[in-house]
Amino acid sequence: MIEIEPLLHKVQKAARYTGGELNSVMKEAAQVTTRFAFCFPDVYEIGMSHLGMKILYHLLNEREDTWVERVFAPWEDMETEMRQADVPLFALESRDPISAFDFIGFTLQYEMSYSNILNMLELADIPLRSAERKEGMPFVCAGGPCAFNPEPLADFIDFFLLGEGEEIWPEVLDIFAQWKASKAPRQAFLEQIAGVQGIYIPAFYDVQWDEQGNFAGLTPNRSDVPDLVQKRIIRDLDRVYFPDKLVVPYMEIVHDRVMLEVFRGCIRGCRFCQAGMIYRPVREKDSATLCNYAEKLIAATGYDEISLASLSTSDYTQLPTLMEGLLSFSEKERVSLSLPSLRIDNFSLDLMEKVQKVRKSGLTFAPEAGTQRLRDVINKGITEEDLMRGARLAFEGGWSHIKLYFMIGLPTETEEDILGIADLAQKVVDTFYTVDKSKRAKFVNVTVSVSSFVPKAFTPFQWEAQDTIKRLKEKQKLLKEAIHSRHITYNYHESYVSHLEGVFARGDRKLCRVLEEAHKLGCKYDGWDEFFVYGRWMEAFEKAGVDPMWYTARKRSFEEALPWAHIDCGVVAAFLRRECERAYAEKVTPNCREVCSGCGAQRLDCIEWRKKQ
Amino acid sequence: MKYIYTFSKNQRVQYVSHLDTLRVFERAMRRAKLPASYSQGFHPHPLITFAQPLGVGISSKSELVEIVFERPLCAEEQKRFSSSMPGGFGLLKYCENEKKSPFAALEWAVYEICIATPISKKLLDDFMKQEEILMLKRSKKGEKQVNIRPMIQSLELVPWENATVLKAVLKAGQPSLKPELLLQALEQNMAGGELALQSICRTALLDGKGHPVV
Ligand code: SF4
Repeated sequence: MIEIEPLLHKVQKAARYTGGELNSVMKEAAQVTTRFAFCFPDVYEIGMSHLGMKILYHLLNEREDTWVERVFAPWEDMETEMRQADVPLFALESRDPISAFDFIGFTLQYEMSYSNILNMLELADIPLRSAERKEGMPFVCAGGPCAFNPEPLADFIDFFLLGEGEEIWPEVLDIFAQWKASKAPRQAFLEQIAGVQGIYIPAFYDVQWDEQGNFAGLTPNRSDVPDLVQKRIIRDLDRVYFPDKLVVPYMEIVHDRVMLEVFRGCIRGCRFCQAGMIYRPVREKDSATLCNYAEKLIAATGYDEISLASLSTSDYTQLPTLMEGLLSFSEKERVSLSLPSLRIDNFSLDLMEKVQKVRKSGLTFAPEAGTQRLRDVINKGITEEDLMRGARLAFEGGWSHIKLYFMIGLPTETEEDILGIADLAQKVVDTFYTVDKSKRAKFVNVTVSVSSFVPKAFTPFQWEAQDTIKRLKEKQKLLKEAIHSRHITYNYHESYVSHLEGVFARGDRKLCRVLEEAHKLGCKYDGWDEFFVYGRWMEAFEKAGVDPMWYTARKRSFEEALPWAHIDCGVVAAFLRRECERAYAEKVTPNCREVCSGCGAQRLDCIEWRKKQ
Repeated sequence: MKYIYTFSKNQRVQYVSHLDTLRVFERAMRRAKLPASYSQGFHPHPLITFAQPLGVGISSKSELVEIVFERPLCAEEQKRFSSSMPGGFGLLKYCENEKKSPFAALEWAVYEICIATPISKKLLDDFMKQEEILMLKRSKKGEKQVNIRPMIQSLELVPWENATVLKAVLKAGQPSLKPELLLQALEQNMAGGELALQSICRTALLDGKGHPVV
């Protein structure tokens, strides 16, 4: 145990580092075989809000032989104090340095957290590169959505976990316990887990580079590992472990409430959306199971709020039953329900009336593109009519503030599509004035929130070029000038971060060098405006001799070797290509419940697909 | 039914802010399934009132909170409440309170300030002999020069192992004096010296006559 008290007096929000929260798990270090540092490469308030971490933490701590503890990135003030006092990165529960642990596991939720991973390894006093880690040092591993394109981190991570951790970890931990007892060398453990479905060990694969030094392919360098690493999923989500208690932080975190996961995957198939592809197939939980969990979790945490978690929650087939169940319980217990953004129709508005009795603040819609043509291209099955109907219903119900989400830089986008955004927002404002004065609110505000499109691996747009920063700025300006109404507020995100995100989202192993340089230059917390320095990153690219534009500005051919082609996320390349071609033809693809498009996930036992059979 | 609880907050939870401490109570009450009374209005909240907010980084042996319930609690429920408090918080005792809140009588708070730097008795005596000690006091409205001397009732050195423990009785209620400001004032009197603070613990809340408020 490290003495950290003297440091705590000097930093802001010291409750980030103290541990000891209700339902956190304490064990006797000497009594367990395996010590696991679950690392979230961001600050406590963000990391503690992540549902996946909560599930794995409690699931793996059920094992008697394993103690999972939490580690977050220290905020800048704490990092300074730690470096000054020579205090290494420690786990919240035991306050032991994590360099003595068996596993250091990172969850990869967004690319902009990669620099924090290196920084945390350095703070932990663990060699950054896998190749430099010696016998007795922890195994550094990583999972989560960004693990589906693992190459930018390949040199630093001993093994990646693809797919759902609840399914993979128990097997890995069993093998680990045996390996540890056998006192075999480090390499032997990696060899033993190489055969486990969902495990990717970068050191067992070599990258081929062409004459120009560009990525040309990736193949195993030994015969006992798969050419194609398949992700792992839970078949029956209804019966899978879900914790009946959650750690309750002492300080306020971003999602400070009980989160109920209603299903995994998404039936929609929006063509820009990586989550919609990599979490396939769709698997639901039963509403009765969920109500039961809700009651248990409220009793175990004392939280006064429940929210539903999933992609596109409106698609949950048992939503009415679930809400009925939750509402009857929540009123009794004085627990409030917070709704995720639902598709706006009579049902959901009625629900919102019931749930948010007073506050009729904001409703959100995500048309994503300004014209029907472009919405067809991206397969966003929302029409102008839908939007206006929703807006009208909302205004009639007394709502006054509507937020619209859009992306710019989408494939095939023209000026007309950009101007279409302004047009659509204006039409929403106009709709407000057609509503009877007695029904509508006194004023109306429409917020247009615009982000930049970033092509991601494992989407139909994985071959697309990304707009340059200059081009995006021009488009932002064009849109800004097209908005005239004082009822419309225009927000957009800076495109510098999107550019960098784009590099890593489709990057290869060469980026490891860039990351290392960036880390040396002091890059960290890149997802935070106050820390992100674009120039510093460009310096890192230069030092590493890597051209970022090669990753973003280039349209790839369907034949090009892709750095993530050795990963099988369920959805197959042929489907993605088909979807890409349909995008160019401006053809929408029906959702999974209407027609199965044969995305490839049926091989993983897709329930929707089975129903159709 | 109103109850007043005396509770402690140990060093592990001394960084839990005032607002977060309120949430700690709300959640413990819900876990214990107690019949809390709620305020009226748009956002009803349980009726929980603290005698005096405790600064971040200060532990305590005697915090006071008044909580209103819909009906009297039985001994079983009180026990449940106590065991529902998260680690680091302890409900030490409780009493019913039919009358109006005794918190208005709060005048002084006692702090034990543990410092690694030795302080002489003379320094303290000289410090206390001053008629006026002007310090910049920060509040929501901005900074203001305030004479903090009348807000210090007594300062006393308590021998304790190899540290210096300063027992300070400081003004509580409205306005109040934070122990950190007292330390700053002491440092200014020490000619460039800096006090190596180890910990601060609040040990009692007193009324004008020096009796415990509850
Ligand atoms: S197999 Fe069919 S139904 Fe299942 S996720 Fe893929 S497209 Fe949807």
